[in-house]
Amino acid sequence: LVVAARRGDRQALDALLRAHYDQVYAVCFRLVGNAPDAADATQDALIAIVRGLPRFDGRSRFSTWIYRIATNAALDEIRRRARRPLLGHSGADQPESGRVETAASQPSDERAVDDRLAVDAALQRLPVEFRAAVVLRDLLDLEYADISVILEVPPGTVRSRIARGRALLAEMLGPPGNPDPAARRPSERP
Amino acid sequence: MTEPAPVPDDELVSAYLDDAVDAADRARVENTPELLAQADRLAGIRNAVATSRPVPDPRQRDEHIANALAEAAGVIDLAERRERRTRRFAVLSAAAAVLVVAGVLALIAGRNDHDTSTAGKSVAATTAPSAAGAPSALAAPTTPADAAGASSDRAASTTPAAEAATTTVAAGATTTPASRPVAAPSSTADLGTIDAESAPAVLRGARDRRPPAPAACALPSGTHYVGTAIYEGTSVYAFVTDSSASAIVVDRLTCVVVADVPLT
Repeated sequence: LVVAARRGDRQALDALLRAHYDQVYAVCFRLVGNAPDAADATQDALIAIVRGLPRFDGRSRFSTWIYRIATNAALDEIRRRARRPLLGHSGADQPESGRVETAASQPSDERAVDDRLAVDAALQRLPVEFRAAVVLRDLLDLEYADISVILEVPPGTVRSRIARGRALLAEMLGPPGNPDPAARRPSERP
Repeated sequence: MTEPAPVPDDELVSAYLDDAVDAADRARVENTPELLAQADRLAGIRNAVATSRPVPDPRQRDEHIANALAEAAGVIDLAERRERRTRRFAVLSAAAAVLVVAGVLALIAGRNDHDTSTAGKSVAATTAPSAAGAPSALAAPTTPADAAGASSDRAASTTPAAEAATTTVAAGATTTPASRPVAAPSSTADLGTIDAESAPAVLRGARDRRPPAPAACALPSGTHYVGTAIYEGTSVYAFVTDSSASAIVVDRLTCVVVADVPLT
């Protein structure tokens, strides 16, 4: 698909983008924290992918290259958001047009949903460099070496950022089995 | 940014979860109940992040992909235009080369005529038309109109930065200069926010810096890396030519040249 897409095969490019779209969106959503900004970052990433495809040289895996573009698009979106004036609700706490699919999304399992929301909110409170490392590792299951290429930091830094990010998440979420989900939900927004 | 010092046990346990420890560290975790308990806790967090996967709106997906495909169509058109320009430049170059060779030959012939004219007027009389033709042959490729056409065409074909600056907005596609791969991971050398006006001064100030080049984008040939910046709202890498004559500004996202800034 990559070779055909690089040759200008529109159908191959369409299939390639569809094959990776959900992962790109997931990375963007997890990094920016809300659906509208995730949508913008995803669109930017897709445009960057088609622009850069003729120059993709195969030095890294195609998926790694795509995730690097998605990560940079999301980080750029976060920078843009920081420069934007806040107009009421930013949507940072709740997904809007997107939804979060979980293993326990049934209405009867409120505790599991609460826990999930607590994790989502805690993730958004992490410093962005830790968040990016944790998301790339735990959401996409990427190796440290690939994350190192994507984030442009040495593998040792990747390892420490993931560890620090997980430790901060653990601190924010409180002890396991806390009977009060509200106590485990971070109260402050990023 | 300064990295906070990680708690060693956190890093050990986290690496253990990722199967990124050696046998000794693995044994240490597995033989220490506190570390095992911590590993269980972090595993729960890892699983929560892993299983909480946002799913995009299908209509939004279709719209995004359609927009990207439209962008791709622009890229292909631009590539064709570039190829046509390159072919046209090749034809003009060949024509210019032929004219230059003809001119040189005419000059040589003229010099021979001059030498022979000192030896005898009759020889000069027979070669005068050829000598008279030399200047016009040499002038042909350098008339103002031709020179402008050839030089602008050459510029369009051989200066990707200038081309990028003019075509990105129109067609959304640019080129990067020929380059060699860079292996070393980068360290951040942030030059701050710059624009077309402030860029020359900032980049002149940075031209003697040589932090490790970024691994993600290839280093433009004949340049060295000086740092990252926000240029006209875009996150970029900045490279300065080894002669310090100009700086190449490259989009960090796409590795595409967005500006070629003269420094002299």
